Amino acid sequence: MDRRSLLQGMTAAMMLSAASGLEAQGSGAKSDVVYELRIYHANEGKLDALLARFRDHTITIFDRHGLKLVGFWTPTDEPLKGRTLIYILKHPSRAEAAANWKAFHDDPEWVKVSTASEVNGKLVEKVDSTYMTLTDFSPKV
Amino acid sequence: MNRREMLQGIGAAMMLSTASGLEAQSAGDATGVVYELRIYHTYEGKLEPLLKRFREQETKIFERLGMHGVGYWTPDDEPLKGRTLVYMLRHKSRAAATESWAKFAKDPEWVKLKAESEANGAFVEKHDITFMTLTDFSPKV
Repeated sequence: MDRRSLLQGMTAAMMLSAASGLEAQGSGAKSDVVYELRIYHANEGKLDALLARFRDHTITIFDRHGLKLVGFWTPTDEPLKGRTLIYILKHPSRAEAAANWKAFHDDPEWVKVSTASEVNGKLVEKVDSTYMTLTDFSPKV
Repeated sequence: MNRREMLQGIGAAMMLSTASGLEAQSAGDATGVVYELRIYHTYEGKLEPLLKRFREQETKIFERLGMHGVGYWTPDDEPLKGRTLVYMLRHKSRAAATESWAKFAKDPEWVKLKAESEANGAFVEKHDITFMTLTDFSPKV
């Protein structure tokens, strides 16, 4: 290798190193962790049945598939009160979120519970799902 | 007091007791703690200055006025990406939330910060505000 090709090689290595540094910074620094905000709009009169399903079954099945619950709330004011639930999940990465949701939907207990709970009609009208990253100034969650 | 009045009095006391029991249950938390989910939709190009204002000063003003930041996030996907801030505050009670926000609006540091930071135009086009209580099966937040 002559001096010129050596220098070209060094420059390329430095650029690669700089690029991967930028990538790490851009993805929110050290981790791939993502949060998922889910807002469920229940069908009329179905919120209590939906809450019972989460309390008695769904959160246990979440846990089995690595879907980590941060918090679970119900709105206190109209127009959402009595027809809405809100929760946040923490996933190790976006890819694991997708894999874990798939495992959840395929879980035999979920299939059974879901079917049994909706014999008199669907509980959920609409789900809003928003994947989010913690800002650099946020407390740890 | 005759027997009839006495029975009416007992009946009324029992109803009051039941009513306050229901209220405590629907508030989800005997301590009256409420959570506030705020979603800010920013004007074009205003998310970065909004995040800077939160990072450098605004979250500190919240804490000084008794509003505890639970988490601050930015959505990862279109259509919210790059134009939305999602955050959650915890308040000691709904009354405390009202009081803290009233103090915040008049706080000299906030009034100055808002006027200076928005000299070239407002940051936030729309706020979605949802007060919530933790469900009985939620992890602590």
